[in-house]
Amino acid sequence: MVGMDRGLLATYLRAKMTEEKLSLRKAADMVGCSPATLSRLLSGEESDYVPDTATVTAIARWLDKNISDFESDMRPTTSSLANVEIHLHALPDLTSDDARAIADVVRLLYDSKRNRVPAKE
Amino acid sequence: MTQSATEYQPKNERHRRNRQRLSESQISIERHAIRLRSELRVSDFCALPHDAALARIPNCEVWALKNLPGVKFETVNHFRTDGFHIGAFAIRDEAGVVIVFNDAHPPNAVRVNLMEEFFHIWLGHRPDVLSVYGEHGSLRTHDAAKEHEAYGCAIAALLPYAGLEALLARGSHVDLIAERFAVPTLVVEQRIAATKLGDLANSTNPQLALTPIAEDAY
Repeated sequence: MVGMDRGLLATYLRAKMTEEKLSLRKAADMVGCSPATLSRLLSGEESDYVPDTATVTAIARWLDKNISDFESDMRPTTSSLANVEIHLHALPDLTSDDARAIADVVRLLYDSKRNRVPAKE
Repeated sequence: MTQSATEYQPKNERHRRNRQRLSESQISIERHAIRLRSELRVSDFCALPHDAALARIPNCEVWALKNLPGVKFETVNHFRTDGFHIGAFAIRDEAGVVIVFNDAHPPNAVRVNLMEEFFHIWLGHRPDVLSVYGEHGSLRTHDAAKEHEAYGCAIAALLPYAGLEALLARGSHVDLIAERFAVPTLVVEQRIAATKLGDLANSTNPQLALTPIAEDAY
């Protein structure tokens, strides 16, 4: 599939696997691909592997997303708490306490900005 | 007994003649660092004023964690204890970028994290909504190549090739170089490895036992 953001796809996959505490094999079974394919997909941009449309479709269905969500220009460049939490879940070196502490600070920053900038009518 | 001419050469002179060629990616990193220091008009023998670099980014806010208004004691405490390995994180939104750094870390380590974020923006890397920086370049996350480039540029800007080479040739100890450029000692060792100046460091500093660090260690 041309123009696919493999890093973003990997981020969503890691987030879902972490959230549901799934092993590679279990997640691959649920997607309907081999563990090797899933492992390559989890490497994101570091891997040269480009999945075929059928695989991307299966993954998109499993993630409850559309294929177009993984197009190169679809990566969110601005943050919402939901996007931040997706990224936090995708970081394997962070504990859940680390993720919670960072999310607390991000929430604080959002609140302080909301108080500083009056909402637009 | 006769000795060849090369055996009489001072070790620094021999280094100049046998200087090892850097990889293309490392040369590109050195160029970015030189460009920034040149724009900021900073000598190769001075510590980089990271705040002047960050001031070049529009709408960039930098906060020490403890100074965030309303931050909970438990949150601050977490970053001082179990979460100490988190050095900084940056959040982007429509208005710009906010960098929050863990003020429990030494100021020199904080400078590295701040400059890495600076280079992600300066080099036009497509931003993720959130970047988390760990101690000594740990917590690499999304795009390894871009993170390698940004981290490499950050430490190259903080510790320029010319200054490092000159000080090593003079026999300066890594700790003194680290102090002069306000960077952690580990960064000096990483720069020596990346710039292939290890021979010079060892020849002029026989008391120094540098542990070998691979060029791609960061």
